[in-house]
Amino acid sequence: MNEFDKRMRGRARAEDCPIPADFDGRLETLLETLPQQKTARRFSRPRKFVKHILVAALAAIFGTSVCGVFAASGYPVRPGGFGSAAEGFQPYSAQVGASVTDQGYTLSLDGIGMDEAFITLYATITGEEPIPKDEWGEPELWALRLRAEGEELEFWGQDQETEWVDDYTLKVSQRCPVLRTLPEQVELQIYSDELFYGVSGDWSLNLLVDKSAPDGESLVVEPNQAVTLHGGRWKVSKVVVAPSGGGLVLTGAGDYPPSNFFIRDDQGNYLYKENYGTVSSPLLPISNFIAFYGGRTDMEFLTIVPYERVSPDGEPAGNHRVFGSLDGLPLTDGSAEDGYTLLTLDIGEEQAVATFQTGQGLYQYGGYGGFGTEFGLLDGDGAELELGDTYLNRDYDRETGIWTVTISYPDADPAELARAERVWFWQPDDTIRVLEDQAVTIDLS
Amino acid sequence: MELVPTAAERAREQFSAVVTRHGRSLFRAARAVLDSDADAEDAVGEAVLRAWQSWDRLRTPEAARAWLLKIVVNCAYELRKKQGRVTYTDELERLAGATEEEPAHGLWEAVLRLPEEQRAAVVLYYYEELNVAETAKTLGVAQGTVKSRLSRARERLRELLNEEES
Repeated sequence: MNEFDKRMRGRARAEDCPIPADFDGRLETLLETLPQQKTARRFSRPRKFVKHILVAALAAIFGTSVCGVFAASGYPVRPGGFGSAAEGFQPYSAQVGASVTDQGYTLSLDGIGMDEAFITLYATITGEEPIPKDEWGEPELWALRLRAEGEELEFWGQDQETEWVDDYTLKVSQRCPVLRTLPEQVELQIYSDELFYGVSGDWSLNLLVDKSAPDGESLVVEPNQAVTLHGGRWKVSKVVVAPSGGGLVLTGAGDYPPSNFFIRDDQGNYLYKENYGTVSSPLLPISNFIAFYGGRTDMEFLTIVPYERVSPDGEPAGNHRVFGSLDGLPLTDGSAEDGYTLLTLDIGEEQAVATFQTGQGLYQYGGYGGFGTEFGLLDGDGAELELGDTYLNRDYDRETGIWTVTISYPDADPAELARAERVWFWQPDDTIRVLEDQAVTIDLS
Repeated sequence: MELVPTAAERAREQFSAVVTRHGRSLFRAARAVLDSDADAEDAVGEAVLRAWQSWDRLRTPEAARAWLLKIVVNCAYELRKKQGRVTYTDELERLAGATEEEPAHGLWEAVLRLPEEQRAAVVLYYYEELNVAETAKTLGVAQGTVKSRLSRARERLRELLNEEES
């Protein structure tokens, strides 16, 4: 925690937020008049506490066929895996088949994928009672945690997908990047002390995983090279390209790293990047895993290229709106090169789905898509339609540079929707300026 | 003869004590999401009733505060959804241009000027003093998301409070 955070916490304690008059009294009244609980406390049959500790040398390597095995067994497999079609599912995979039971819930680790960049777990959770769900029907599942060689691995929970088999059975896939270099034979502990929200127990499995699989090369370098990004000093502590994906680890004291830099390979290609996550603790520097796509294992160097956003006349970065008729698509303006073009708009009963093409001024940097945009519907006079509750969601496809923007309006009146004749969307005012003079080359040879 | 409370009575007493202890925290969390004190109180009320109905599912009393905070945040978001507000379901902020603003007169006033998603993270992190992992659990988002929201909120708070970089 930095000094600013400490000051804010101090101020929060001192200033608090204004509590309405007699809030405490009303809360007390509510508590005195609590209704009977709808569900009586149930007597569960005594649960067997079964704990299987498996220590197994996992030599069974399935290579590429593991994808088919897992897909067939019902795991939530994304097309192309967690990474891209190129990176895909992790080929260094092994079946495990270990399980541990506590509190009536059994955690079975069915498979594991591991290389120098990422670890992926494939697990099944079964319950003697239905698996707890939240009000949206999602499992109240916490991320499984993991220790390697006795030390905590970070980032669990960042990438977790679940799929219901039935109310008692859940399939789980979970992935995290590997921030440090691990030995070929890795002692892993997969564990949880709170499998579901409010359900504490002890689920722990110990494994010995051989990641020296024969398939695929990896590039792993720990350059420990200092770089300065927008005035902040960072250390590139690891660069990795492995079958499961690529990334670099930026480590430094203080606050979070700037995002406004690009990564370029030794052939001049910009690599699409995204900040996977940040790990910090009170005493240690902060580590950030910056995932990138399209890296090669024979790269001799990478270049970190800072950039800045330049606004016309030095004005603060902003946006302007582009207006047009629904009949006039594609729709854009003179800022299309550094912004967006509305390609399609499908107005349905409960949602409108628009696609926007990212301009080459952004997209040229390895498929960078900017911050995306949003849109609104207008009547023939240019007045905004009254659609009630609206919800906005944006998805970006880095392969095509297309943003898919969805506005949902579950309560909209069809008659009001039928009045839609025009559309607007936000267009950025600023452009990208690459700061070559501040670029830093990371030697990977 | 001393009357021994029944299990149900003990549960009710225990629940009331926990809620009373954390009542103000629940209000702050709800108020971070909602735009009025009245709505925040409604969310707290709904959360208390829901929590009571599933109190016997909570197997670790130490987790009660975080559990209550999660329920009240969920209730607040549901209430907000019903109120016809535009909800941004991704992490991106509204793309409106920047405007000149007066400095805030206090931290809470500054917090209320933050985008909604940042407000909730800030209140849980600064006021409730949860760590990033706990904040992420409470909000049901990844830790990286919380850090991103906090990072953006810090910049804004510095502006609003005329705080110097540290």
